Amino acid sequence: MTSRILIVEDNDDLARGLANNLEIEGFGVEIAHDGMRGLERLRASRPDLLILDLMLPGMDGYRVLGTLRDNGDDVPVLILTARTEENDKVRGFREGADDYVTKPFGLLELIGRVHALLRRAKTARDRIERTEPPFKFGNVEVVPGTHDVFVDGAPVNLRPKEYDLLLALFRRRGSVAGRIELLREVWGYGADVVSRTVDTHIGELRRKLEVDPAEPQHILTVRKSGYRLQLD
Amino acid sequence: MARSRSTAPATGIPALAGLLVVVFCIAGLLVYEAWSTGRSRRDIAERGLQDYAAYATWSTARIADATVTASLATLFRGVVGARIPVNGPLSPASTFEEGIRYLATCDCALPVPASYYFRLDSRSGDLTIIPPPRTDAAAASGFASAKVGSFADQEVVVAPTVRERQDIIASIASHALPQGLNFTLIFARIGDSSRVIGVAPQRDSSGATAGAFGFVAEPEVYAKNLINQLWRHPQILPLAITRGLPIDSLLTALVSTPDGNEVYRSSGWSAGLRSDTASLARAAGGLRVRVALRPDAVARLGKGLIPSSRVPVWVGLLLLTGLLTAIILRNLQREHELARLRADFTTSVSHELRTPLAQILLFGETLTLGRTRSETERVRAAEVIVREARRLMQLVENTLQFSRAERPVVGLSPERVELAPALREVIAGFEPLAEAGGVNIVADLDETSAAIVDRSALRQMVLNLLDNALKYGPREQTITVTLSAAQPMVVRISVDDEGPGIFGRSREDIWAPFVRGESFDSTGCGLGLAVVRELATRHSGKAWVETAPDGRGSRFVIELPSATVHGVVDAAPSAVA
Repeated sequence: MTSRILIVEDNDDLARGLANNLEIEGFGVEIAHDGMRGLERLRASRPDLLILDLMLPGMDGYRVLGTLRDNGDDVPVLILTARTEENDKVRGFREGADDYVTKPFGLLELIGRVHALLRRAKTARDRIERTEPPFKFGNVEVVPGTHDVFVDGAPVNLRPKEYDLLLALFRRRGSVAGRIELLREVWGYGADVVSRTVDTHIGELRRKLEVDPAEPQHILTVRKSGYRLQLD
Repeated sequence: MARSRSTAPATGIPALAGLLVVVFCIAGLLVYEAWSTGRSRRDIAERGLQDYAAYATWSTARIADATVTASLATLFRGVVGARIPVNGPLSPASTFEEGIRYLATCDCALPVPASYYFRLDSRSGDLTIIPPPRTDAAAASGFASAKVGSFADQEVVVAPTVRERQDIIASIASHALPQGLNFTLIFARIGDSSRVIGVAPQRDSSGATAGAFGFVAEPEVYAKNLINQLWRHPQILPLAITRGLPIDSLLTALVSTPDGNEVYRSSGWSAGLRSDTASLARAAGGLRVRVALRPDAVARLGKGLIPSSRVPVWVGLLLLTGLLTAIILRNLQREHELARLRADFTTSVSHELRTPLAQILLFGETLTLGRTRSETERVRAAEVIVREARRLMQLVENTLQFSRAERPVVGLSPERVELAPALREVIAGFEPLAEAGGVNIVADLDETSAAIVDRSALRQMVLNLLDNALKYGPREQTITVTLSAAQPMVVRISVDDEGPGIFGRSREDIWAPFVRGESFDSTGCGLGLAVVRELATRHSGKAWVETAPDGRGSRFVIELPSATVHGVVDAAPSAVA
């Protein structure tokens, strides 16, 4: 799955230069130029990593960080700032930052830190998944720890993207997920996909999991919005 | 770029300020203590002086009683106690005259300043007038010359009129003396005047009043003589208090009749003095004496009693302490403000250096590592590097210029500069930054203007004003650069932006070093405008800000001496310092 990174930085040149380099690394990158927009994009896109400047117009980086942590968002955050004082760093970590890089920065070092943060986040996510209890809907049982899926007790072979898609729907607890949203979350920004990809994979999931794929009871289409998973 | 001001190091300043306030409070407490102590000691002294007055009043009254009684007893000694037979004749006038002469010569009692004496036979109503001893007659009869003086102004005797005689008889008749009292003083109207009558009734063997002997005197003269006599008495005030000073220099008195009519006041009497009142005995006519400490006596008696006030000294000390505290606190505040501005400046410069450096490094590494995906990206990266390097250069120049301004050892090299081409060159150099900010620059330049100016200083001044306009104005704004001949000897360069404008005190404050616009989310380290003014001043010019002509945004103006006037620079040493 392609990792997605949100850069909140008011210096457009710096943000674009950084975005280009991260895209070359294979990440999906989105840019916001102020704190408020940054929070909006964070809620809509659910990125895997946030690169956050501190000195932003309007809502500064500390407040952005505090707000997202208050909302229970545990996305890894790398602060990228010209503020070099120790108390600034301490405050950043207290607010919930995972890493702190000062400007000017070495490009490769920054990319290395981004990889490290994403790796740690994935490890933590996997650990959580492994301990996550199995869940059921209809006659389907999913075991996150082993990625096994059973229909009426018989194992079903899901492709990785199909499994990721199923998990993305499950984690919304019945809420609607838009096609673009699913596309970004499961395939990433940089992935060479078209919107029909989601539909195709949904079709595959229905075929493998629904009793009657023509009349799905759990993997439901919400007109003009996207899809949702009806647990029962 | 939003900026949160860093906190300046101010260790110790609040403690010092607190200490100064404590010192001031202690000084205030000491002053209050001194004032309070002084006041209580003064209260005690006031009470002491009041006690002196009360004592002097009491002793004056008692001694006056004794003096008057002794005087009247001496005067009437031949007639008092001599009981005459019922319907027998009164004692002869000669007996009374003997008493008169004895009182005048014995130097044993208060002489009586009588206008005349009288012998009244109450039964027949005969009133015999006895003139006072004349001075020459007194001298001839051996009266002591000192005593004669007491009667000096009483030599001419005016015989009482019939009405006065009637008044005397009526007054005596209406003042029956109680048993045991042989004589008294009566205050009454005799004719048209108030008079004091000293009277001693003579009784017959049955106890009935057969007649009276007495005198008539002016009350004021009688009271004056009495008071003068009393003031010579050594026991009016103890020697320990008077310290040998004459009593009349310490006390003053007001004498009035029992019904309150004033008859005499001694010199120095005035209202509001520390005084007390006492009445004399019936034998002395019940006179009321009010005795007071003379104002100058208060200072004499109070010496040592009333402490000299140190409050003015303490108040002076308090004011001095307050002044020093205020000055020190003000200096501390200034120091604190300067430290804050410097700390803020350090943060700002740090940020101003790091942001362009970050871009230069990022795009430099991107190019070096071949991490561009197209020619457009490569060109873009190179442009950013050049633009940010220029920004860095400007920042470094401003910082260096500011450093030179504090140590003006580096001189300028003013020369004749054609301003229009020079300004176009500066604007062209600024274009990349303007484009990055989406800003349009319009120039309206007078092609004929020239100035005596250092080229690099001119460039720096205009660049700073352009940079300021860019930072504090909105994106997509238009910055207008105007060059005009303001006066025959002055050229004017103005830079207009479309920002929120600057008002009030900020118009002057922004030219101070380290000060940045508070209301903007903008970058800067607070040196640009300070450098502009410094350079303009060193060229004998000036710099200020005003509202832009259309009322929108600010206009920053530099005026420089025109090149058409020769010798301006030579005439202004500061321009080449």
